[in-house]
Amino acid sequence: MNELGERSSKLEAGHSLIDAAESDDADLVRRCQAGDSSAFNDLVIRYRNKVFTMVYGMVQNEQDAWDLAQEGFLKAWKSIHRFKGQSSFYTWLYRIMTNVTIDSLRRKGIRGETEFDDRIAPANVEPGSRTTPSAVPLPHNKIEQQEIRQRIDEAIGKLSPEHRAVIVMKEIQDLQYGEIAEILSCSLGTVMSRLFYARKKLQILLRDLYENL
Amino acid sequence: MKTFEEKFNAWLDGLLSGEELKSFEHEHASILQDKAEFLKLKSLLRDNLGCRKLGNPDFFNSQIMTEVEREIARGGRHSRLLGLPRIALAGIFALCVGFALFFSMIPRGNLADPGSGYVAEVLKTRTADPKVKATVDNQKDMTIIKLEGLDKLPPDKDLNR
Repeated sequence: MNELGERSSKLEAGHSLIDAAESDDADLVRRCQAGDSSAFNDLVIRYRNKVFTMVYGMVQNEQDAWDLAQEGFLKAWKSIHRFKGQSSFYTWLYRIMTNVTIDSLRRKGIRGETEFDDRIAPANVEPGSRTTPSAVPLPHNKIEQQEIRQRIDEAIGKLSPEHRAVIVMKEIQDLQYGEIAEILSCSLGTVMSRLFYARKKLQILLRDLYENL
Repeated sequence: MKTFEEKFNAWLDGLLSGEELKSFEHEHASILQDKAEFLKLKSLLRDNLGCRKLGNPDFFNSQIMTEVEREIARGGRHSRLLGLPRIALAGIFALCVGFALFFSMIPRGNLADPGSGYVAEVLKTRTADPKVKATVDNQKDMTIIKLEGLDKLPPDKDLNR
């Protein structure tokens, strides 16, 4: 019973922290809408790291991530008067950032490979085998961190902009499915479908990598 | 009804419980070994993508705020040019000009019979010959329009043509 009591009070504390953060955001947004640029500076400080991590996860380039994050924040400032509080501020901000990033990827002609291409899966797999043969020869020594990152970047690079968005938001930012659907302005089913295929694709592309961990 | 993708994702993220979890694991026993792999993949992605931090955050902010201040200054100039007081003044001025034109150019005759004076004015202004004079005489149940100064038609003029 004590444990239950502790758990429920922790949950309440967590909820009240979230409520406090959201009401802080609401107050800062109100000040921004009244023309107070210092309030916007506070919002940028609050969200710049999360935003940068998310954008970087999608573009895998530090300079591009920097530029796109800045572009997103400026768009947010210009349209702050249109924010009506129907969603949380960070959902609204993430939506802007995702749209800016996806637009940039599309302009560069990045579409990603087909949804789920069975041809990329290694063939001739025994039904009972626990692991599938790797397409890339396993190095004898442990793979260097830089090479790991490069492999991950290449694997993410094979996903479409929309698939990258869901995988980054779920695996890195740990957002809930409903939040991701709201940010991407799509249905929950679409999020689930994209997440499933993105996970499957990365599983195949990076299997040799995480098997060495 | 949840699709396989929905259940798979929920199962992987530890969101399935009770009967739903039992039923899913029973139906898809072969993918149980995938869970460990996916958790390793999750950890790999988080460790490598999630660790990218924003370098030089103060400079990041200062660049944004410089642009924001520029936007504010642009917005101020824009609003001064097209501000409400200016638009209101422009509207009042346009109305005054409109009234002035109306009262100076539209003839004011007998308001009880606005057609009479107006018709005469129209006839006077439309005629090319300055000798032609038009007058209007309103009588009971009729209006007489008199045109003076017109030339006689030649006798051999064929009016049917």
